Amino acid sequence: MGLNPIGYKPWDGKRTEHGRRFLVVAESILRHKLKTKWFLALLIIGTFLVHVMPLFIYSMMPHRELEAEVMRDYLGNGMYFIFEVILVALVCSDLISEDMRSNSFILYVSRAMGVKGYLLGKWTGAMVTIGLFTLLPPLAVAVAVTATQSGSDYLGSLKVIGQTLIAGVWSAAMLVPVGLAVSSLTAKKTYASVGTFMFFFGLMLVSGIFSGLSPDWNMISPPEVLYQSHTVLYGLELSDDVNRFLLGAMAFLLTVPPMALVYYRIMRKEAGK
Amino acid sequence: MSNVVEARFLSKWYGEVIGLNNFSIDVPKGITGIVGPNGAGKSTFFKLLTGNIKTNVGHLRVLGEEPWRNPGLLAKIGFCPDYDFLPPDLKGREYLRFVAGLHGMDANRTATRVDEVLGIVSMVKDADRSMGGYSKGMRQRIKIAGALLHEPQLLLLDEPLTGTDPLIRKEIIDLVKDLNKVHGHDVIVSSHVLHEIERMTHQVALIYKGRSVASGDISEIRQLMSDHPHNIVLEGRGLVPLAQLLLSKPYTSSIELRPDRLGMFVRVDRPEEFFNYLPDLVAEAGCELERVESLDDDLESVFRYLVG
Amino acid sequence: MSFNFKGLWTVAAFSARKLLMNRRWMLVLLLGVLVASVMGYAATEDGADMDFASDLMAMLLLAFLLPVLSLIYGASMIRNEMDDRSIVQVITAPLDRRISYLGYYIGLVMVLCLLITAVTAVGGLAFLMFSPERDGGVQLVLTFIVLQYLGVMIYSALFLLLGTMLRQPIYLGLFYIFIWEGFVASLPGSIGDLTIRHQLQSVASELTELGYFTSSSGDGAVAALVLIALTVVLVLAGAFLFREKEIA
Repeated sequence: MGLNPIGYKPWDGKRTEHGRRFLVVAESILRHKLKTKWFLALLIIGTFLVHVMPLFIYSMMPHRELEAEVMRDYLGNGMYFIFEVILVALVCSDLISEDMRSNSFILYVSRAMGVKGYLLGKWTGAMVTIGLFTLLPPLAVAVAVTATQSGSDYLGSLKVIGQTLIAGVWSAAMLVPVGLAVSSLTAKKTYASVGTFMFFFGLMLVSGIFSGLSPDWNMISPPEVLYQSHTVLYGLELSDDVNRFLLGAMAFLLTVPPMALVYYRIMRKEAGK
Repeated sequence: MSNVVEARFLSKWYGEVIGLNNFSIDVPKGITGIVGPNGAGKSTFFKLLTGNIKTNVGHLRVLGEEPWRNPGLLAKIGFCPDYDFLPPDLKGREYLRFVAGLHGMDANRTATRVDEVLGIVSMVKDADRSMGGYSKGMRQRIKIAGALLHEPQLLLLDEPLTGTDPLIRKEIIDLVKDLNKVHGHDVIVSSHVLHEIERMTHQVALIYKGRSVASGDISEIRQLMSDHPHNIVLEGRGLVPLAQLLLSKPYTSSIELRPDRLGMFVRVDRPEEFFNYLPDLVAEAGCELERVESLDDDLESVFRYLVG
Repeated sequence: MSFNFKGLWTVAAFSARKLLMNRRWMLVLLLGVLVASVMGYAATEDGADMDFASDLMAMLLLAFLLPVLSLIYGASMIRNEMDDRSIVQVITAPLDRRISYLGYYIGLVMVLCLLITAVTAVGGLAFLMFSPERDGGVQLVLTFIVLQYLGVMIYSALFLLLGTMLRQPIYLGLFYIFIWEGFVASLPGSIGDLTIRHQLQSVASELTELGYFTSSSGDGAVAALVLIALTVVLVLAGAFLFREKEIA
């Protein structure tokens, strides 16, 4: 063996553009989750219980075209929401909490990424992962129904497919921020999971208790908000007893304040608090 | 019973990772050091001794009994693991009362014995503070106190000196020696640093990659370190004549000169002879030596040599 | 080796203390405030009678709080100690691991009974304070407390076992509570009988004539026996598993 002088050579390979670095974070999240046994098991069970039956039933039943009401009602299935919540709890629980526990924000923000890039990467990773349940299977169902339709209005069906795409993305976008927010509140991922669950089910419970007294209480139930917002996205008429203001307010409250909370928590953690 | 531990052909694996591989050892009474690098299997051996895990193959006796599924044996063993498990919100004294409760000690005996062990480990002053505020050395001492509380015959101390500063290290080494000499406990203590064990006992066993490599008196191990081949680096000026002289010596296996002629690697079969004659050779060659260092004057090299 | 009763009690007491000293009490406080607020507000609405109070407590406490608190505390009790390796103190003591497991179970049940009692009492009192109708209210609250003690015993046994068996017990626990008990059990047919909640409702139908329990199918006495038998089986299974488990 011989002695080699230590030489430093700067990296001269390809560097990812700054604006695209969040995709590196997102990709690593997707890869990691796809190797997680629990996630795969729940994804497979959920896809089987929620999506496989509609795929066969809607394709094989006689139909002229793909209808918005049919897709809206299929995505309004209670099991769809429950599995989505479980998956959000499972996927998001460790995204921020593990970094909180091990103080590994420095890994990200010491590179040319910043807190916003970090958050965008985490959010995108969670969205893509959850989209494997909320988006891809419904799209498959929509395409299958379109492919087997007896009518010739393929443009109309394509429009519904497009609406399904948006609805699938919105389904994930409505729940992921809460999952990330709860994950930022604790250093233990199991508490984050349970907390995410309890948040959604607590709201459902309170809504269930008081909705008999006034229909406006329905609007605090997340599955109801999801259903009504799908109604809007599919271009269908909202029924008269749906409080539009409350619907919009809930859609906002479930998405924007939680992400603001995550941002705040990370900034505080970075400042050493 | 002359041996506190008798192990024959022990093997333990975790999935595809082998923790112990055909490991055999007899541990006599007194203080015995188990020495090996990180990942050698020392902690695995201790977990087998306490019945935390069971062997896959082989035969193990601790104080004449099989340790797996034998809680009664644990009344005679005190275990101090290498990792930190002390609850930070408990005070030292509360922790010891908890341990006493686990051992079924009654309240009267507990109070006296807790004071006694706190005195042995010199933690009386700090016993009523939360353990979250303890230094590394204090935590080690409280862990040892917990292991001593029920007056065990055999103490197992897994890397008790890791992470401690020299002052604390000296205190713990003196404590371990007293535990045997003054209080009569048999002790098995592990470390990856030979000279630390050397300060506590002369009786050592070497473990490497899950295998028992050698056991006996520490002076014999030291001799091995001198006897096995060494790679030695020399740096300076005018090394070519020195290299020529070294090549003529029977203890030199090979020499590799650096391209700039300012350094060379010498492989020697008998390092002691090499070092004894080096000053004369340097004077004869007329060279200027700036650095002489053996790259194999450590335990890791001994292990590699013994294992082959 | 003589029975180490002191060791058993030490495990129970210290694990109970550890659960109570944990910051999770903030969550329990939050849930207590939620329960009190919901029940207090509900009591002010028209038609808020004892039947409504019973249904409310069944939904809030029996179907939600009881299983969720049991999961949070039960699944993490032994699992956390195995993960941070503080369990070494217990498994290197001269105490049969089956007895240690029983100690953990007793500690868990003590803590959950205390928390459930507090939350139920606060919720019940909040309802009674604002409700115009109060006859039989205290009895209803006490009935729910007793019913939930039975629920604590069985849910604790289940989730403590899950925590001992699995590295990530929370997900299976959540699946059980929200998918199995919450959704699958509401499907038509006798599949609903295969849930702890249904059995508790059957017991409740024997204890009170208020609320939707009166329409519950099943014999209350048989349900109670089934729950007790299941508790014993789960605790024994957990104790056996804990003894055989290699804890590195």
